[in-house]
Amino acid sequence: MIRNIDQMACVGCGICEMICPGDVILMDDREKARIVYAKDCWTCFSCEMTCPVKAIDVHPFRKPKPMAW
Amino acid sequence: MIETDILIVGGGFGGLWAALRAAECGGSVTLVDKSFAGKSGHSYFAGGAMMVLLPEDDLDEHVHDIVVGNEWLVDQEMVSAVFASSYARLKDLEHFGISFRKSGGQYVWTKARGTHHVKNLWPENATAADEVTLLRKAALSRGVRIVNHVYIYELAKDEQGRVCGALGIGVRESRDFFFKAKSTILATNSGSYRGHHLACELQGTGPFMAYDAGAAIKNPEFHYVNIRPAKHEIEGSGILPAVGARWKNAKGLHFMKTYDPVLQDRAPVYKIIVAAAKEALSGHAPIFIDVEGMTEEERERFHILQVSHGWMPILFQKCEREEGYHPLQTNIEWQPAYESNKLGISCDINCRTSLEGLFAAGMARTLGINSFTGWSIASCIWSGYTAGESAYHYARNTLWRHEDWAYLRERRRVFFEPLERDGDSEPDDLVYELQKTLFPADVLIIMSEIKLQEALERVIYLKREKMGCMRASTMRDLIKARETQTMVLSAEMTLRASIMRKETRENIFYREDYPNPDNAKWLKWIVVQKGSDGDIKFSTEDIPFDKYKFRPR
Repeated sequence: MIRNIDQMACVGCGICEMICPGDVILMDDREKARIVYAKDCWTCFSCEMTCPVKAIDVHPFRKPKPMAW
Repeated sequence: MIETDILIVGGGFGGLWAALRAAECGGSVTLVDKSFAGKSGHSYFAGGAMMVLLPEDDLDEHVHDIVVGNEWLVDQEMVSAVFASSYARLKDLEHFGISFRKSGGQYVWTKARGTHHVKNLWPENATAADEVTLLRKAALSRGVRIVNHVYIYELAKDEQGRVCGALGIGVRESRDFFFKAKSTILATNSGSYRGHHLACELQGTGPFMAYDAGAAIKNPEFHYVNIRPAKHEIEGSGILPAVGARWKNAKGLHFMKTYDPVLQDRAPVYKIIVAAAKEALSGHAPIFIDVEGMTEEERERFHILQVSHGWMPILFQKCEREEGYHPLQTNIEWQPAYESNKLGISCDINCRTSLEGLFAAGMARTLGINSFTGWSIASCIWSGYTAGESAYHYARNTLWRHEDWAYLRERRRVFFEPLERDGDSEPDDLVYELQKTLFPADVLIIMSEIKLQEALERVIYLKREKMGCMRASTMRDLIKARETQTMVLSAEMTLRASIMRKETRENIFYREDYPNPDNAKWLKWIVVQKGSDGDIKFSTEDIPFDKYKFRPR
């Protein structure tokens, strides 16, 4: 699940906001990317991989869900 | 309002190919995606394997493999069409700049799991992400208008009931959209329940919009369950056994040796999941894939295939650094993950639905039941190309329809209802209740009438008592509310149809109380349509074996 966006490093390019399939990230009025809906994160790493300044950190574990057993 | 000859909903393989083909034929094309076309949904996260019939291969052998793998419950003309066009589409992909692995001038291929003859070709970096990204660029260069971040929630109809576009809402800003179109193609996937696997997050509302508008839906009893690590992702559950890893239970027993002595760990994924569930329900959980028993050489092979690119290296590094284990060196628990429905809009060979003006592509239409590696991409590409061409021809010979504004206003009102409610249930809570109802292994994996009925009663309760008081305070919640309504409908269809099919087909459908196939009664499809009273109407459709090449003995 998405864990952090380094606000100092973020250059406000908006790529993460544009590509996030779960619409988890939004740009704030200071033009910085903010995690707004962390619980909806797909843990797909798209934002972390695409961020040009490596400001985004996604933890590998997903939100726990009911299991088959 | 946006006017377009051809409207396409969904920006994965099916939708992008539909857009490319329709634009190539000459129509004005608009593609709408609720996220970002080419980077959302299932396609972007697919492994990239694609079934291709190479010029030297035999078409009949390929069709036979797929038909048998689908336990005869598949449209054989469709399977044949997918393979017959696959080489031409491969060449198109190469033309768009996608290169496939070659060695000594020949394509590198792997045999598709569960088949005798079918070849899977692999893009250079073994992921579909680059493919859909390039398809998006190709679509833009052909003049396709792409509208991102708009959620389509309803089909528009004229007074004769013909489809003439769709209604949508901006995901980021509360803006209404009406796309007026001569032809509409749904390429939205077929939906899921947000299970624990990455690909489960997709929400395919297309088939349910089509159902609501009167279209026939086929195969509601089937679903695609995958198996994944319990806490995080690993791509390649099919490749790990292929390079030498074994499925084991808590006692360390290599259980597939008992369940499928011939194929063992290379058995179709459905059989592995049923076997794993039987082991777990007998007290032998957790189930894991024995990476500790792999040789260094086997690990290296998997590493080259799956861990050398994309997000897998990041995940592996973080598991090692922060959680203290390497997923290829330490055994971790794996769990079934309900990945997607297998139901789809019933279509003819030209991807026309039973509603005039409506076409379907990708997983939103029926493309068979068995989720062979490589079949999804091949069949989605075929259906996109075909739907794009059909929709273009239909649009060319059609006048603009006059939308039924009374109908549209009413549908819009219904969609917005949760915003005005003072209800006490949140969409996310309802989804969690559905997950708790559907995910236990003895509901939709090891099926029985008793458990299916119990789950159905729970779903009906949620539908009657909770769905009606679901509230939304933002556009985001409103979209989630619609997705939740779709999931509840999907669950009801699935459970009721699963109760109907009283038999077992070992590659696709396991009923513990009816453990054998029943060809006399069940060599047929289940079809659902919305009844005039609003309830789901179930019927069966005979499979037209008289016009098919292959018939069961």
